[in-house]
Amino acid sequence: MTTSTYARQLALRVAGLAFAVAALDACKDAFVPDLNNPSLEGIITNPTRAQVQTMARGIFDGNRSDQGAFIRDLEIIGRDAYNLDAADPRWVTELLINLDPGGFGSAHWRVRYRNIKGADLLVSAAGTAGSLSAPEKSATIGFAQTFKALDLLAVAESRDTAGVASDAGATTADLTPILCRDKGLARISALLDSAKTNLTAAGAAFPFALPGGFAGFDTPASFLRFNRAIKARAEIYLGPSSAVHYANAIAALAESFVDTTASLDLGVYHLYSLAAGDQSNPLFQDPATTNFRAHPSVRDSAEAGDRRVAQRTMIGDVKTYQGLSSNIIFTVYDSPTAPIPIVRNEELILLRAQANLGVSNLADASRDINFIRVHAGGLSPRTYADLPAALNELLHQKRYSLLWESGSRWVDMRLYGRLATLPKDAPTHKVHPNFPIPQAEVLARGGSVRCQ
Amino acid sequence: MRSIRVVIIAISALALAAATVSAQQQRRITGRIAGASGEPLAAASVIIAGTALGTRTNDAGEFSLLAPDADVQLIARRIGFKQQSVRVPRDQSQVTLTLDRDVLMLEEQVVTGENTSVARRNAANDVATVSSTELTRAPTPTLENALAGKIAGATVSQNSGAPGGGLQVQLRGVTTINGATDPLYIVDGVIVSNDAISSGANAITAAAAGGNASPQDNAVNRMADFNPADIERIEVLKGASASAIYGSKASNGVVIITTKRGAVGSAQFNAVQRVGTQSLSHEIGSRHWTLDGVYAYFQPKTAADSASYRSLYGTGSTTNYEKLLFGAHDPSYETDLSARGGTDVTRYFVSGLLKRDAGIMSGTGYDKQSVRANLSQTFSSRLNVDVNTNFMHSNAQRGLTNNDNSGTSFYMVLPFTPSFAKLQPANGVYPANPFERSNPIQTRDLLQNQENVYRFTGSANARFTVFARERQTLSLNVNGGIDQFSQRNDIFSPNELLFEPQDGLPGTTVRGSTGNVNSNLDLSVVHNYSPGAGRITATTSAGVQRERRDLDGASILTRGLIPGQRGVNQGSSVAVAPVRQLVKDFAYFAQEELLMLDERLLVTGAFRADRSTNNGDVNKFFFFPKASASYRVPNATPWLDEAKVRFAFGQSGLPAIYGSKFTSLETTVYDAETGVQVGLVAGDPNIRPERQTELETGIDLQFFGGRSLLTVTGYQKAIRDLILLRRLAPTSGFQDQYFNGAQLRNRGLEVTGAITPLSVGTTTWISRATFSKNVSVITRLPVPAFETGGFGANLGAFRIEEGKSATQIVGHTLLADGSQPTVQLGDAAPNFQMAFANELNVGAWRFYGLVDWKKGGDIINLTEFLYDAAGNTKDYSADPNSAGQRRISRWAQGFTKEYVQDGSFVKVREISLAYRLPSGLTRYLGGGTHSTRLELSGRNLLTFTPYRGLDPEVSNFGNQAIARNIDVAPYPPSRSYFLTLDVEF
Repeated sequence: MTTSTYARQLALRVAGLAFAVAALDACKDAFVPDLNNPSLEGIITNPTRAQVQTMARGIFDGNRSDQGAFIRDLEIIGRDAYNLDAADPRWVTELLINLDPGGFGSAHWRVRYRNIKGADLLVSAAGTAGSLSAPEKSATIGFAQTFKALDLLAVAESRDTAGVASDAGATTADLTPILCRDKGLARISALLDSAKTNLTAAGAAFPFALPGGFAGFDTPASFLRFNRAIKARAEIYLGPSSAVHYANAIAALAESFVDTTASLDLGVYHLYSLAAGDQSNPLFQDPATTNFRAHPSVRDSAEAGDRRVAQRTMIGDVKTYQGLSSNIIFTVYDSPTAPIPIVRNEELILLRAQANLGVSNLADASRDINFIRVHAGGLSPRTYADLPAALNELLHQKRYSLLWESGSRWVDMRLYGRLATLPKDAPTHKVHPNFPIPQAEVLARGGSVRCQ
Repeated sequence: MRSIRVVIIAISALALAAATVSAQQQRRITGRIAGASGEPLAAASVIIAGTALGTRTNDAGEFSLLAPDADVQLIARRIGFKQQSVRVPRDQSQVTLTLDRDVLMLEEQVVTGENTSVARRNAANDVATVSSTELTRAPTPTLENALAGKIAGATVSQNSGAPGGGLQVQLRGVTTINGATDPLYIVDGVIVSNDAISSGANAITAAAAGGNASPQDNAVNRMADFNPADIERIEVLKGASASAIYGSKASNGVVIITTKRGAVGSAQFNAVQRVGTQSLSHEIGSRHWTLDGVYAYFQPKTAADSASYRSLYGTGSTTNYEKLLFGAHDPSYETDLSARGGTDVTRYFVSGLLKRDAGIMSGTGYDKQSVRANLSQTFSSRLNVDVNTNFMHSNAQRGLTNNDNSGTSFYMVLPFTPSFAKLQPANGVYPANPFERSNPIQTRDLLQNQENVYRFTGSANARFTVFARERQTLSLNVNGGIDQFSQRNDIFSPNELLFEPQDGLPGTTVRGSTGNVNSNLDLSVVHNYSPGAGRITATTSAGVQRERRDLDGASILTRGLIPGQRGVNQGSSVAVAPVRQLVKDFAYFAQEELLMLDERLLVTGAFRADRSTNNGDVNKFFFFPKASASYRVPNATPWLDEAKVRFAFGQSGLPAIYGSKFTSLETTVYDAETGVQVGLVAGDPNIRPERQTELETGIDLQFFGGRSLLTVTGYQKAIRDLILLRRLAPTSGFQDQYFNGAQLRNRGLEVTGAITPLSVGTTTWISRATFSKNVSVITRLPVPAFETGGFGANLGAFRIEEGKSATQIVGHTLLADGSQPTVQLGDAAPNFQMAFANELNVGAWRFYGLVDWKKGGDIINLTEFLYDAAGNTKDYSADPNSAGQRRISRWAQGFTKEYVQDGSFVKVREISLAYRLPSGLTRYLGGGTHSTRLELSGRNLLTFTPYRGLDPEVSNFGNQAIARNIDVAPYPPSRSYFLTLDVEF
């Protein structure tokens, strides 16, 4: 064999080997898993306890993820607040003038149904979980239903007569019915009752840890008191259709944690933190530069001596944008880790007064209103000539007790047909009666949506 | 995997069968290659037609090679010269050939596939090429800048004027809606990364808040790293008809870069020293405020407020903050050194680059160093190996630009800062900006935003001639390479910055660290068969390609820093954002080229089959065929040297979007526990590559003895299976779902013309022009029309709509009935683009200029919107009829059109005047130098545009398939001037 033939054969063998390696390599190793995230398929059947814990915590977080934005937007539309952010004119052009169903008008919808979908997934996953006992399954389902109702209630609060979709779609193509206002609220109320049934059958403990903001409400029995507080809200929104609902609200409140002997701050909170991956309080901005400003009417309309004004606001530099200006800064949250209440005792006392007014029980309503005047406002009690006078006072107290923490002013003014009384800063400004059904939802449903 | 094995076995069998044919009797031919005036031509290639036998000439232009013991056709070629061939009878062993200059590059080889190429005169596709001299006629910040205006059908646009790159190359229009936007870049056989990794500046700007999550960090795409001076030539495959051979990666076109090689001969050195500077090329200007104007605009409500505005206004003295911030003229420099040389056995090219481009804002700039060593080794007459290595480092300081929500980005602050504001520091103290949250002078001085990239690209290419006979040759090619970079981003926003307490956590530091490794291994065989001279040449090639891309990184954001500290563990809040992508692809291909009828007719057929882990079915091969034909008519008329008609068809793909097959859960943290939630996007387990079908046809003409040429090309690119995000009903819990569905079509026309109007002695004038026009239309959209990019229709957005241009811009308009529909207001695609390049050589002088003209193409000018909204535009005054007031009030009434503006421009891209020093002088100065050149050059010296923004080349969202041309507070453009000394010795 000559050198050149040897070299040639060697080269051919090397090349043949290389081809073989390439071909072999092609046959294996052609799969790359999702390296960045866990998969949906991995948790929905027979989850471990740790997976149930993770899904449950995701639902708390999912509810929290819209809390700040929801309060901010409702407070702005309800003329309690401005967001004078020069970088984005839409805080004025949309929230105070024209709400775009494809823009800011689409808020507080998908994010809520995402969490509702998460709750549905947890309900079905819990049902198949071999790692959970029967009472633990009930506890998990009762928890998931309560949060589903809480998210649906936020949709009802923001959409009102536009309607609320009854459920999240079971598949990506499934379109659930859009229920008209009262039917939607009735569905929410029924869901809370179903959750109650499950929580009652749930044994002594949840099979997962609740976040710290639920301290005192972290067993099925104590969590039920939170469930009833939400039930009371839903029933009060149904009040105008029938006084029965006010009675239902009073009954629900009796099973909640309303208590004139306890702290007004007793309640359930979302916590915020600066830990890696966690969320900071979205309603907090540094007072020196904050864009979040109180509407001038907050101080103009306050009763002299109301200590909530000084607790919740202070005077800072003037900020002006798009013809709006305010020097009133919110002090409700003093740091990026300040918790934001989901519901607390002070609101429940006011809800009880609101429900009592609905059943024409002026005496009990007056007592609760004055309790808030004295204990929250540092004001003296008053007597109210009639139900309308007491209602006016109730709405005034509710505004200052829940300023920059609930958005309830807009919801209440709408409930009593008083949106026209909210102050408009310019002739072109409008007070939106509700958020529209988002453009994406309308398009997915063929271009028009009518609630049923 | 049966089909692959069959191919492998067939290839191996072919190789073995061929190997058994014994080598034939051989003889030696020697000779000399010279230019028209007799000067020896080194590094010319000499081959025997129809065989793989060949060599290169030495410094004296001499060569010696083995040839079959028969009559042979000898072909000599050298870049820049016209090819010559001569018949060498069996009994002749000495040959001398003279080559003529090829000023219009009529005779170059263009790529047709992996390891195959064909003479341009036969090419069935309009493959654009850019040579090294065209790339380096004016100093360029990055490689892509040097391509602007040089390729018909390529739109090369910068995203901002920031030093260090950030440019997009788009070939023949929009080719995808949601997929990757960049062409496939191949450098010496290595598929290199052009990733654009965001710096994390969003931590400061908060640009992605408010529902517009998108990369607005002004990222650099990594082609910026390569040194243009190393490049021998660039070939651009503009559409699927040419790029089908690259299969599912090639729908955006392919840019094939070949770096310089060694040449036989003694070492030739080239030293280039450039020094220069740059200046702000356009200012927006701002309003001239009167005190009454201040009152009228800010409307103080109390006497105290009025007094405070009066005091802010002071004497009315003004500062030009644009000039103050962006008026630096710091020196820039570039040093290029290279050497090439070698023997018949070993040839080398080595180069080094040292470069600094200063920014027009102090504290910004771009430093780059690069070292390259390319080695070619001939182990035997059968085995050639090329090894190419390149190490690069760059450091870019890019300032803080583009959209923000935090009052920090410079051109977001300037609109709100009237010229009477007093922001100059005194005694080291920066006054607070009464009108915005930051003092831009302080931000400029204290905020750091650095990007450090270390990159290595290396490849080896072995070509083994299994056998070479007069009628057939078989060669085996192994080509492999890796491209690795590690990118580090450092952003430091110290506590004392006035805007820092905004989140209650003064002090922010971001450290991003990203590594990427691309590797590919290609194996191919090329069989050449030419049974008889002039009758037919058949080139068969087949092979496999394996590719792996692995991107892995994380960005750590720390806020609430201990004063003076910048470590990521020195703060109270830490967040980590990882990025991870791993892709494994495999492909096989085969191609047959037939050159017939005395090299008049070229017919090609090919296919490639691709598999990728990005696809839903990772085991499925997707086939991409190709077919083309060209026919040339030499000496058609006395003045028409040659005419060619060509027709090409091909398919190529664009990989499924990474991760689009998965329905992922999002992980979150709440009170120290992790949680999972439904994600934003539902995946499609059946996702597949997008598929482009291109038909290209054209005619190439050469006139007047090679002094003029004209190329006209028409094409149609139909793209189907475009991956869309189907907007789901939000009540599904998801926002969108991926699926293959849409179709779009591009039709276009490209014309390239070149002429040598003057060529007398040492005086030559070469003039080139390119024209291109592309029209896109969405032909099928199985989802409702949707907006993409931008900030909602109110501020102008792009809209994907069936029957409309893919790049239409829509917005609100107000009708007489009071309704406010969303209508088309413009189109980002230009009506046409033209470029004119002229080179005039007179004796020792050379003048060169390149003018780039874009007609049409609209821009959403939100920078002007911000100025108007702040009542601070140059043309805004207290008069309600002033242009600024009119615009913003019309916008407020519902006319978005006010801010959708014409982005036409004429730019003098490159201009240079060079003088070659007399050889006597150079000898006096430096001894034995071959040539010394002095050159004055400039880039982007002049721009003529009706556009009122900083620059009509702008993209707030970086490289985008559709939504470019959104102008939000970019880094302003600059013009640069350089003096160059170029010495060859």
